[in-house]
Amino acid sequence: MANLSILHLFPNTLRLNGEVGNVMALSQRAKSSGFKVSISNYEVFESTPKVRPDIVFIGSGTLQSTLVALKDLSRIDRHLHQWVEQGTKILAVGSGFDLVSQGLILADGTNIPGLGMTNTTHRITDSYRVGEVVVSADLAGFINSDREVIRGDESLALGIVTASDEKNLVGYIDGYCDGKVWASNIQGPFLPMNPKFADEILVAVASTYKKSTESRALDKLSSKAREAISIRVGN
Amino acid sequence: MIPLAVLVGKALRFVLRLRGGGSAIPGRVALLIEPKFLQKTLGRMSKGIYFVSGSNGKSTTTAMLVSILRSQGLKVLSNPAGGNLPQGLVSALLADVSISGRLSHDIAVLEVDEAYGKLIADKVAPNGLLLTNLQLDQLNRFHSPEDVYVYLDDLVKLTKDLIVVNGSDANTERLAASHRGRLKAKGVYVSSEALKSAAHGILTAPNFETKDDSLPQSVILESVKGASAKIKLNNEAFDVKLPAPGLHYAVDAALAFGMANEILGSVVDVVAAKNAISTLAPVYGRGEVIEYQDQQIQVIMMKNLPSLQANLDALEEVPKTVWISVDEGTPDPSWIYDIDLSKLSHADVISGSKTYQWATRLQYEGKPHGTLIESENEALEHFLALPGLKKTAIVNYEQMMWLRKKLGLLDLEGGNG
Repeated sequence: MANLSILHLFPNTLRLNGEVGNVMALSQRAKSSGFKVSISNYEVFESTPKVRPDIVFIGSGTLQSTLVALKDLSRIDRHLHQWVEQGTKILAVGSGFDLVSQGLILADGTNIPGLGMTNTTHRITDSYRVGEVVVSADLAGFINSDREVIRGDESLALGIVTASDEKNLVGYIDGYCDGKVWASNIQGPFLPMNPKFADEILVAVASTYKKSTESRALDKLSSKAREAISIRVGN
Repeated sequence: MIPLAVLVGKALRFVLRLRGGGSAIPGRVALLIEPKFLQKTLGRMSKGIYFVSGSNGKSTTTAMLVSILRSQGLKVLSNPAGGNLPQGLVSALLADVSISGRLSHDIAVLEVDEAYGKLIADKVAPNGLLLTNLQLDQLNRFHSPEDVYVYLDDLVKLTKDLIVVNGSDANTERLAASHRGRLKAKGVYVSSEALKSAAHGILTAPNFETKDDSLPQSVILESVKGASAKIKLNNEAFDVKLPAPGLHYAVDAALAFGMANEILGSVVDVVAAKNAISTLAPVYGRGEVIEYQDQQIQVIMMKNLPSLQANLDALEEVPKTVWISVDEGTPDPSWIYDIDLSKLSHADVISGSKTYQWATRLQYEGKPHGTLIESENEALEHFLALPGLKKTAIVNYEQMMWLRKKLGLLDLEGGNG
């Protein structure tokens, strides 16, 4: 049985709105395909993990939580960069996206550096964009963000919001994906709702991964959940 | 202008109620006629005005505080849950106020929304404020508990004399501590033994402040077992029978005792106060059981993560027949992935616009999701036809109010936990 390891970064500090569902999705899908899955956690101030994980997940938090996590990054950033070079894939959602970005610019103009793994810089604005969104048939969910994502090259974005119940979100360019890092401001259970990306990440770390019957049953339910969002936002 | 405002408001209220419904319109009109309506009515209370706010437990704590004060002989005015805006509150007051604007009550105890409370406090500043907790709640509306902290801080700034808070919640403790120079600040603390009585404790929002914010202790919740709580007040410990089991009910009772003690100087008649609490009915969706035909339907509300988790933690057995129904009143149910579902073995039926989000969640947990019926009406029929007499409905606020109406409970204004 092949092994698969997932490291959940800051699981308590960055735990705002069901992000743990992403670890659940990766783990359950891999297990049902015959992998032996191990999940470990790294919290602020803890000793840095010694073994390279296959997948790193970073969730979302309040601004204070995000600042605490950003401050702690210097303790682990060398490992994360090394691991990614050696094949580790990263998924970051919500303010986890800030952590993998070039940096987060606060309201007072202070720029706090992130891991620099994406081509995006994030700025806190004075208003939130909140609503259900549809990017494509495979990508839908809920955005609740006050971040402006400044990017040079849009080709690495996950997609553009085509429909939403919040008009300011239509046309919003979401996320990042370069084959090493997946990131999105579609928060919470990004992978349970959009399992295509769970499978993409699993295939990227384990070429023998094949979608199981159990995962196909899950996909039918999440497809109906996305369809319901699509109908609600009039897509 | 008060007599005119009262007359017009009362007339409108009478007409609108004949047409079958509560409404903020009479209050809005009365406020247009007399913008200082609240100051000229509530402002005359001989023993002052007290607010209760926080993320969860406002309705229960308000009901408990009102009961305790009444048990000590005070005539207490309170607002129905939902009367959180000035116009809603004025509408509620119109039932009791005389033409001259006089209320016959000694004291007002008002439940106020975290964000809207300031609108009422701007008109009538409270003498005292009781804060139940600061938890993850309605992120689509509040975005972050840190924003709610700021709203509550605004409310504290408008409070005149006293603040009593849940001291075991680091955020509310910090809120009170940061104003203790100006206000008398007291904490109601939950012992480690009591915290262990619920699998997930008191489910507070994150707090990264490390300085010591300890407050003078008003009350200690020593222990909780089922629907029984041991509370220590003024160095005397006593048992209180709660309206329903659960640590969340026990904390609310301790908070109510803490505030009553400060208002009264000391709770004179502890026996009467205990009886007042034990005879309260459970608030909607918090351990409440609805009798329908020969069935008993336990209603569990999923207002937010902490409220659903607290309600699940308080279950004394795994429910046999389960219906989950969630509609657009919960725009983003993402947080259901943070819920520990060990108290649920399965669902028999799921309905509402979030049917498939809930079904996906259960399937990832490896628990059967039962029949999926998006129409709530059809789902209710299906649920009632299932075998068994004891059933459990897990519903959001809007679905709970709809369900109550469908089952023949025609009250107009309900508590929201």
